[in-house]
Amino acid sequence: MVNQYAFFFDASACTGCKACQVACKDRNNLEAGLLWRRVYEVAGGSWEKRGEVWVPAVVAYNVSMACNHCEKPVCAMSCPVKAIGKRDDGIVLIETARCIGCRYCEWACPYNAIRFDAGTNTVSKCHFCFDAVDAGEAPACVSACPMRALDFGDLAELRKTYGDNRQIFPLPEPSQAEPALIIKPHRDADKAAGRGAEVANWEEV
Amino acid sequence: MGGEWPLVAFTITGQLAVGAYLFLGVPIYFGLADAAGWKGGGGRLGFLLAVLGLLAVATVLSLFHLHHPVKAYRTLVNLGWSWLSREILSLLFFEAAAGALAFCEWRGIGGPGLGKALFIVGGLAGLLLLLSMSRLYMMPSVPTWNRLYTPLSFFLTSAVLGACAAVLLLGLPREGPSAARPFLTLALCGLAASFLNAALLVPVHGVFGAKPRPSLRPPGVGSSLLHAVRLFLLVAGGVILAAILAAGEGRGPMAERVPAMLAAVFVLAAAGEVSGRFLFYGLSGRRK
Repeated sequence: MVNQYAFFFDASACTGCKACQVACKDRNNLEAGLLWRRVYEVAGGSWEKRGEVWVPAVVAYNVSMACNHCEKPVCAMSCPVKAIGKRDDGIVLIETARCIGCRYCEWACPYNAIRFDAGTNTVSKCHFCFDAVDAGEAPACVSACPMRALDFGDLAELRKTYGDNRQIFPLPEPSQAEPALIIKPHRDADKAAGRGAEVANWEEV
Repeated sequence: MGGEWPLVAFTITGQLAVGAYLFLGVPIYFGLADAAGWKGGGGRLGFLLAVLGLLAVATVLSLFHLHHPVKAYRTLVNLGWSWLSREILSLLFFEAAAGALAFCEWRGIGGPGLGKALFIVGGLAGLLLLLSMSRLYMMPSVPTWNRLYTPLSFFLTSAVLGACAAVLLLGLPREGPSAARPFLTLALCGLAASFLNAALLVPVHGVFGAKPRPSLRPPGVGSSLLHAVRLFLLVAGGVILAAILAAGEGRGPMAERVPAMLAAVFVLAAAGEVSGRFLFYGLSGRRK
């Protein structure tokens, strides 16, 4: 029995093709501008002088991010009408009929995963393709990734396979919400902050 | 940033209501309003109706930031976790206490003891409203807001606008001894504190491009022009208030001009706080 569904993301394998993002939009019939899974392009750095030689000291990698179905879902805690709940298997869902559209959960989520849906005038987010998962299939984003950079499963099992790292620049401190997420960092991720890296595609995400 | 106008209007109006309630109520219910020199304004009922009017406006304004306002009655169901639920509850408590006090004054029910007791209950509910308003925005996920600036800013807005409204509505004596000086001084100190709070703390909150890291939150859209406008308005209000104090608090040759000057101080202070609040929301914007 699954206690907490979780995503695994391999930043060292991701090429930034955004197939996951498109598969999510397609499967969930999301309007233009509404993204439940987003691929952040992290870039930074400059030239660095080593001895008498100038060499490029840059970082460039991608972070694919959706709702992390947190163990401590701060979005649900902030919701004044209890429109956000957690299933027994850990998947966090929004009950659209209860949502009053105050949008405080958008501020509360450290991962910027909750998005306003102008079509329903309520907030929306990744629901882990729970109907597919219940039927024994994989979430659309996981199935679509050509690099197998995404995986899903029970958090405890994923930890056994991939370890327990939940942090990569520029994700916030995981203690804020205890995300159900395992990350294999890109080799340059630990240099990102020092080299002044920043999300380079804000207009897309 | 402009899309957050309902929250700007609600928070400023709510904070003005609490400040006016405390700054007008304390002299009225603790005898200071009857001290020599105070004109007493429109009486206790008038003061309470003014506060209730502000609260009614704040309540209506709060609905404008909801996309499904007809479901707003459900907002009290998450009192265990949500500061928004607690904010609404404290707003309702405050309205109920001020309403009960106004009803007692209107019908002449109870003596001064009951009036004082109800006033204190209302004051505590008002302070709880300010606290819950502040805590609502102090989320670890929004480092820009999760700092001392948020509660300081909200309580100072209440103090500045409340003190200015109290002096404006109670009026100043044209002759004889004045009990107004402490309130004028408080209003001036509030303006100075609000200026210092804005000048010292806002820059590290991103107004000049600094962005708390690491974060998946997009850069803020707060304009540094709003920051400058706010500082200018607070200084302008403070200069006029200082001039009133220096010229004998409304007595002497300035007497005719003092009501207009007090009104100008209130308008400048309110405009400064509105400008600061737009900046506050702009620093951590939500997508449209």
